[in-house]
Amino acid sequence: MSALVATAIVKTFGTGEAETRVLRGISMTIADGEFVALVGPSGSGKSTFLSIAGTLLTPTSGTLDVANVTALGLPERDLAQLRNRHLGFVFQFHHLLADFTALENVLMPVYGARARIDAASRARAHMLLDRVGLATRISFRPAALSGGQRQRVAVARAMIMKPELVLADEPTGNLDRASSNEVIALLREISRDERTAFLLSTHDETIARRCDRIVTMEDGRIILGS
Amino acid sequence: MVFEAKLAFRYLVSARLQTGLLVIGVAVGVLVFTFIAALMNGLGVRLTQNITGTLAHVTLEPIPREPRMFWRPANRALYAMQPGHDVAPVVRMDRTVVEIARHMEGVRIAVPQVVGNATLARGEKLVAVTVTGVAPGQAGAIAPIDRSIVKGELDLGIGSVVIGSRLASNLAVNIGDRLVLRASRAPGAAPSADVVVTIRGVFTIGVEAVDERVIYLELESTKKLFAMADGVSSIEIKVDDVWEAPTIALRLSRATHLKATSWLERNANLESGLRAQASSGAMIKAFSLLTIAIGVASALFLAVSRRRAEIGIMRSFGIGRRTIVRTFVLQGLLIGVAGSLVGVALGFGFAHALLALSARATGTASIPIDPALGEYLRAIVLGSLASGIAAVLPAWSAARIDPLEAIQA
Repeated sequence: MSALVATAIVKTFGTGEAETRVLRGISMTIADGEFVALVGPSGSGKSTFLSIAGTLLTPTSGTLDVANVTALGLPERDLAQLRNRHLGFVFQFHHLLADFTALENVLMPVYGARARIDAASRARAHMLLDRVGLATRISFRPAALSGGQRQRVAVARAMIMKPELVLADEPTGNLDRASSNEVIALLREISRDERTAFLLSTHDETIARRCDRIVTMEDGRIILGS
Repeated sequence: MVFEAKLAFRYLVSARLQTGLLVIGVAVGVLVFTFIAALMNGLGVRLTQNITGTLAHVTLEPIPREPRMFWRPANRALYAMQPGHDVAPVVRMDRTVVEIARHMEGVRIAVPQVVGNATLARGEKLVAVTVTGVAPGQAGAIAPIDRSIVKGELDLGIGSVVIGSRLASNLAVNIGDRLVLRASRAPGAAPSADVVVTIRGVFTIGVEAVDERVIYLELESTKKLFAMADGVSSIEIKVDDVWEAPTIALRLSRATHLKATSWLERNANLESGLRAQASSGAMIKAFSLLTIAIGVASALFLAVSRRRAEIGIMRSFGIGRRTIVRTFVLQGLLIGVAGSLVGVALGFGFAHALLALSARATGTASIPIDPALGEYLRAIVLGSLASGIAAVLPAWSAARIDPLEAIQA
């Protein structure tokens, strides 16, 4: 079983003379529970590929299977459902909803699946917040949390629906070294315990070395470790 | 909907100042709506009451004779009939007609009257007047003469008259003065005898034409004045619901074979005036709702712009477009309901305050506002709907936000 199978993904922006080819035939497979680092210089196409893998962007050509579901060609409603059930996102900026508590933010994706929060989801949210070390701050709003704590809430939110694959775009980009190490250790631990695959883009070689596999991109191509 | 309601409520609470201003904006719009409704409806009611209070709601009269020619087979005129000048149209069997009218559903009272033109003389001064002959106990049944006496009393005994205050002023007469009354007759008709009458009361109805020209005389004396052997000139009727008068007039006409005219027919200008006034009021009310809609829509567009990233992130983890649309439409509805309730309360209070401030010694207000006619329920429904509908466009734009663009921005 694979969390992600991408084949010959091409992405171009613009047309004619203004056309820019950002991805030039990316193929990648990520097994269940695998922890993969995506590295490369700025402009190499890492974020674009993560967006395509997360079904937030449609490739110009190629095929994409997420959690054994063929994503390309699905209507928007089904794509939203696919993201909700099988994918998790952690961004460089936490993007927590400022008017909601840490617990409510973690539970937010549940509303995409059902109208009411069930006891099991609530229990899982409590467990995840406990796991990321924020059990005593569940009723805090993002403004009352530190940068590292906010990012840990975002990690818990990404995990609430038990996704097969979490896409993390520079998740430690806004954190200091100590917080970065904490967050990466947390992601690894969760990946191992829940058998969740991670695709994590980073500029930080130290972080990349802590992953199962490193994929290096340059100029829209994978040059090492596909 | 629980999630959408929670989200909408949190968004509104988190932007307290903006929400407060929006609610006030909607409330002011609804206040204008209810104020205009109370004013226009109050004015309509007052105008209608003023007119229907002093007039008969339905008048039964003989069907006028129409000019007609009768022809011989050789197409030569045999006989020509014209409306007579010398013979006043008379309702005969007036007692029977009155009984029929009194037993008809919706009729409050039916009063036989004799009305005719006469000249009132005091010394060398002559004034044309309209004499209304009515049974003494029914003098105030049609026009509220009994409640409008400003001097003397409503005494319609033999040889007594009650006259309008402007007429009394024109003739410089007072209670107890004697006047000579002479019926106006058509040219060629037999001259009528002069009748000497004594002024027993002076009234002020408030309608210039009545106060300046009308005198009240006892019914039988009036018949003698106009040489009317039997019958009356009209049966004046008051009904329970003035707006039912045309229907009742039709029924009366069928039942009595007389010409029945409702007050609405006699006052067609009032009806068109009331309609024009209602149209103006409706336009102002529509503009107030439009202002509410524009205010809510622009504020929610700003809110969508401010929460672009949040909407994007929600969309990224699978919150559907419909949920986003419902969240913003709910915000519009919540603002609309809150603003409408506040506006209705303000409107009700404002109308009462204005009524109290404009109260005159007579008990009536100089501003014809009626707080009971503020159309409050309609204002709540329309104010809330306007706000909810205004939220659809910003909600739709929120649902169209590309999650990737919003997150990367």
